[in-house]
Amino acid sequence: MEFHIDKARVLPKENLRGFLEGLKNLGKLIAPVKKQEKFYFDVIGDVSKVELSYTRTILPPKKFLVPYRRERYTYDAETLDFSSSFKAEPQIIFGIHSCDLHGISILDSVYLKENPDPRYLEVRKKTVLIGISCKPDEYCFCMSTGTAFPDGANWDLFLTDIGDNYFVTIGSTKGDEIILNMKEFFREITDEDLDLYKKSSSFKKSLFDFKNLPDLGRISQVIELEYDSPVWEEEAERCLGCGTCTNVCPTCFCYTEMDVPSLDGKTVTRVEFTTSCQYPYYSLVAGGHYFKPTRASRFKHRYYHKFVGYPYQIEKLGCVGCGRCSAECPAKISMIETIKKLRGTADEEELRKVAE
Amino acid sequence: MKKSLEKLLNKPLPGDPLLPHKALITDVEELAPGHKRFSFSFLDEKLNETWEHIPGQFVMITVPKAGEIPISICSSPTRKGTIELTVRKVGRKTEVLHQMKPGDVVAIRGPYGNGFPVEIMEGHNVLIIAGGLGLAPLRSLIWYILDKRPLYKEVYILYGTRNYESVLYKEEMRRLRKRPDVKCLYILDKIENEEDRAWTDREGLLTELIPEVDLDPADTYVAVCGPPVAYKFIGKELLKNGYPESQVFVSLERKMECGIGKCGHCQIGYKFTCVDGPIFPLWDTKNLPEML
Amino acid sequence: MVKIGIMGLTGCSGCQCEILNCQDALMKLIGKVEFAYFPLAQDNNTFDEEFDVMFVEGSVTTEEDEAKVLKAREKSKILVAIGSCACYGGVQAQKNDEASLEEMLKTVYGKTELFLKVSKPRAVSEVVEVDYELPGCPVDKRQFVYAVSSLLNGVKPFFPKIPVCHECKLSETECLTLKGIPCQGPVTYAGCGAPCTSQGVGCQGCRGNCDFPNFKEMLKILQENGLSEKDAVAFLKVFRGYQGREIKVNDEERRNEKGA
Repeated sequence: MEFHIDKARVLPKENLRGFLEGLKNLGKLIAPVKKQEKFYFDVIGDVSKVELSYTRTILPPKKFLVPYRRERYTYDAETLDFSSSFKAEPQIIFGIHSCDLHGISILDSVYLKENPDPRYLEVRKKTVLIGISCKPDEYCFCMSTGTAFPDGANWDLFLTDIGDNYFVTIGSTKGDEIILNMKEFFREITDEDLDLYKKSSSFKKSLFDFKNLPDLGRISQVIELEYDSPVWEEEAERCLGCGTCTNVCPTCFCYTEMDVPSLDGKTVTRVEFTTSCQYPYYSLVAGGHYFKPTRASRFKHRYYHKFVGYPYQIEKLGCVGCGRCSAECPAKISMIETIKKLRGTADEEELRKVAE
Repeated sequence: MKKSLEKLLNKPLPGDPLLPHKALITDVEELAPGHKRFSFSFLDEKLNETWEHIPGQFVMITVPKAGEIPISICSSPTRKGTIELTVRKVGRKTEVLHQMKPGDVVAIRGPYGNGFPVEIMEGHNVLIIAGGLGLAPLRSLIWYILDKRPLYKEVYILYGTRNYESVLYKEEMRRLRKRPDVKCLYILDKIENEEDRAWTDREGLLTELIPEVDLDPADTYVAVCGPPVAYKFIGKELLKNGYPESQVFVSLERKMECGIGKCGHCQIGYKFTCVDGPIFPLWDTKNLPEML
Repeated sequence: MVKIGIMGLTGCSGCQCEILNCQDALMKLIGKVEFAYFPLAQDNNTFDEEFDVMFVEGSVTTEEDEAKVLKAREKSKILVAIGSCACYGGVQAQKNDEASLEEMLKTVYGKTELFLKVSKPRAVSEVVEVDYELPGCPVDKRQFVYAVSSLLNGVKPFFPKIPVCHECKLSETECLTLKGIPCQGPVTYAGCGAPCTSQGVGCQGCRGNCDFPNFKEMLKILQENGLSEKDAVAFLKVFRGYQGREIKVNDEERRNEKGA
């Protein structure tokens, strides 16, 4: 069951602080906070710092599931005995937007379907995900990727803003328990609440400028058909290869592993750090051969992976339309524009005339 | 919660796929300048018995202090108890491995990748094409097929190297040539001295040998491994000679960190070399232009 | 015992001071290695024996520097250049391609005859073969410790030349380039942990070029952020020394760039 209407509750906005305080008892509370003009997910001490009217954080909440730099093992250089100090702590990530929830469900598939990673699973089991509705800006295109609304895939609670209250839907038994344990903050839903909730999806849709949204219909095929398109070269001309697009992406997972010996040479630490397909060394093999030697080949690879690779590997698009890669790109390369160029989207008016 | 994800998240914690097993170096042989064969057996006796792999698969070997490297297994699964790897001294990790001696301990995990479709090949001719170090994964296939010789029809081995000095497994390859149940054609880039001449009188590119193979292409499976630059030419020549794309299998090399489809480095288009490869049918190049 | 040397050529000695700041690591090293040559930090230095690892700071600018570094190469199994002066020539080399030595001397000292015999500042690698380079102004402590522990263990250190944006973004710093502040992060070799950008100061490029930097776009962006083309080129060249030659202004030169 995706949606238990009989279990949905209403959280009056004045109770939010109390609810957040209560969540802190369940584990480490993580929520968006403001830093200068931008937002980021951080561990919360003072719940008044939690900022819920944000469009996007610099980095997705992924960093609390798969840290950007992680020690995998320590081993003895002589005996090769491997040990690990890994420990997953209970945590609650509060205030995640729909796109990032979809991003996490993509990571779930990546890490848990084939060759499941026990660490990721342990962290996921100890993590509570609480989502919140949002308002899009010009970089958002979750409407095209089908990730504008949570689809009951992997979260525990989702708060939809319905004016003075949040309409709280329950996505898992874990979420249900949380509400039961803190029922003093919630009230039963009324017909009026339900009515407002039903309207919320069309309200979100109304905030998009549909002319700006990219058409992602048969996008895998488009990318494959346009393999030799000059658009790649044109766009890559501007690409700095800085890797920001992948580092801020909620679905990117590539990492490099390196062994760091201690000064006395007795132990070695195996470290994994997030990397980017936009870096030349990414495809460099011993002997000096670059399998992705040009900027255009690396640039193309990212699109290829997102729109052809993920569908092949996990049967979902690798893009959730969060807009981070476009919003953070120092060269202002826009994914929406690149896709439009690749499609060679002609004037729709004109097409209609041809059809007639 | 969706069924598919509910299933994933409610599973018990699996074993750690990245945790390697301790292995002992039992033997080291210098094959050619900068090339060594290492033999390993696991410290865990049970693992030596239960270990199975398919020719063409690879392992991730931890070189103490230096890190992990993906290396093709060059021994045949039909010969149990030891795993052999052929290693060229080419980077910062292999340099350290090359200094290691019998008795030293390393760690190995695997086997990874798909391997050659040895069962599909049964009942057909097999053409094996190796260039330089490309012999390593194919050596596993060669001995696998020879140990199960009656299951296969004609077997051809084409092997090209720079000169005699860089020929790997010299004795073995010489013995193979004497066997009546396998046809061997060897070629050198350039014949410069007596040693070279004693090895073969053929001088030129590996591709030149392909038209000389006397097999019915439709009934033949081809296994190719060589340096990255060679694939394009070998592929073209095979197609020209009528070998079906779906029956030509190439073994590819990419940068790898994990071997289990998590680190991303080895991606070729939409596929991971480590889990969807490293053996790809030539047919795949149609969808993955950057493959060769 | 492993013999280590740390020598300074022409520079501010800041990198050597930074090494002295690695207290924890130094404490672990004492007793395991012998600092046979480290004039900045100790008396009794010998320069006559073989060194296992020699760290060289500073650019080769005087005759004495050149003699020292030649001897260091001869005496050392591994020679590591530390800091941007040793790796690229440093700030003192930024005008190497624009002015003659005489012009430089006249501008700075008012005369061309000095008590020392000087040349244009050069990177150590322009004089002798260098095994590893640890750039930065100053050198990064963690990288130094990692390099030392790798070398002592007989392993070559691994330094992927990725851009500063990597570390900057992962520490969730707001992009300064997008904010309109001139920043060289996208074309500069990471490893510093992006301390400048986190304080709101644009990256100054002290660690030199990352792999295949896109200077064309960088120049365009710097100009959009208020610098003239000339200033933008000068800004990029401050720390890059000989690497600054990779900054091409016209399209013709750019066409054959590797990895473009």
